[in-house]
Amino acid sequence: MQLVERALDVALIVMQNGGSTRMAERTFKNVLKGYKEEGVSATWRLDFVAASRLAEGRSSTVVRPVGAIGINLVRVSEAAALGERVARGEVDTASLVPEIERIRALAPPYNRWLMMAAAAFAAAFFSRISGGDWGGFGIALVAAGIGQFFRSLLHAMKLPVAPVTLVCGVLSACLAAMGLRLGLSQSQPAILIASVFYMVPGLVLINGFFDLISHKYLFVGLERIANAAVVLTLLAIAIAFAHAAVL
Amino acid sequence: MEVPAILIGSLWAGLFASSLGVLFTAPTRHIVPALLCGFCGRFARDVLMSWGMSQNWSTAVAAAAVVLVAVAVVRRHSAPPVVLVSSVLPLGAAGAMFNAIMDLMKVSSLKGEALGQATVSLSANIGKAFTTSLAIALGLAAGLAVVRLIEREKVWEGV
Repeated sequence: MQLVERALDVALIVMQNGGSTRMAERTFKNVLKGYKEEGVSATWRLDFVAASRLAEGRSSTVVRPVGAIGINLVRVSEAAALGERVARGEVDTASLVPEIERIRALAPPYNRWLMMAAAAFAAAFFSRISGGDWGGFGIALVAAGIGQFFRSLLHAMKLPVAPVTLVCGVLSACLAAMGLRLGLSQSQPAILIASVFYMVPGLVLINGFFDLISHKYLFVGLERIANAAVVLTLLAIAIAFAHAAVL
Repeated sequence: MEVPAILIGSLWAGLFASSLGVLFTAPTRHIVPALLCGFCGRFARDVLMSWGMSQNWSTAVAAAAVVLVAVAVVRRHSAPPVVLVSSVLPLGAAGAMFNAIMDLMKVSSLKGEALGQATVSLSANIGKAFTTSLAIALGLAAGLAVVRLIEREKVWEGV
């Protein structure tokens, strides 16, 4: 079962870093194919993954918790590429563990400041798409930038996602509402939504919908969509709070 | 058809999509495709709407166009999920969702005629948000089906 465990390790990198369930399973199968392991099946959930193997009339099962799920698509990409290399016979068993450790140690491709700038400009561009004026552009830029900065600080403290989302959502929405109250913009709905848009769980939602459509990963799809719904509800509460308290 | 207005709106959408790509930690090679797909998706939707097509059908066609552009510009002829997600979000009905949330907050405290008006507004906004999201999902599915038909291979790979 050691090779099955290694295959699960590679597949878990995909799951833990925002990859789709289909890609995780393909990576798992690629590793098993490369080492000619047969008769292995896996059950995918958002909280655990179980792999079972039937050999010589005996069944063995390995269960691994998935743990906290973040977003680092560079790790996902590297894990999927590793699976493909193993399937082609380019990686021997001795090299697999160091490769897994290397991928796990890969840092996000963008630093804190670049992520802050991306959040700020995503919010500002969104305000323009939604019909906001230039005053709203500035408000959304500042509100989302500051919110993302605090979000990265809170994430570094390993706090759970829900309170971080709520705190940063309230902060960004209140900053945006203050800007609107000062009369810097007249585009109220566009600016309030734009200020928290950097926390919208887009990747989780799309992975969830595709899991759901595939039927094979119905449960994990429902789990992903439920998670996204919780985040969206928290953002809605943050906007409603800012609307009631400041405007 | 107001071409300059459509082009400017599409430019904002492209920039928004590429910023989202960075936020989603997409590899750098996928940032420019996200910009192009975001631009093309919004451009397609606005042009179709200016020709008289309904918003939902325009959104569905635009989402399919996003898939086709993604497959055309990304190497390996695949449609990376992160490019698709970043590029279709500018097509979403965020305004309707926001108004629905606000209406939901209002209906619990209103009475009489005001309650009736808020309820109608809530239904309309929920309906708009739902149909737009459904149009995006259908458009993406249609686009992926077309690419599968043309390429005869799995397109939903890569990140």
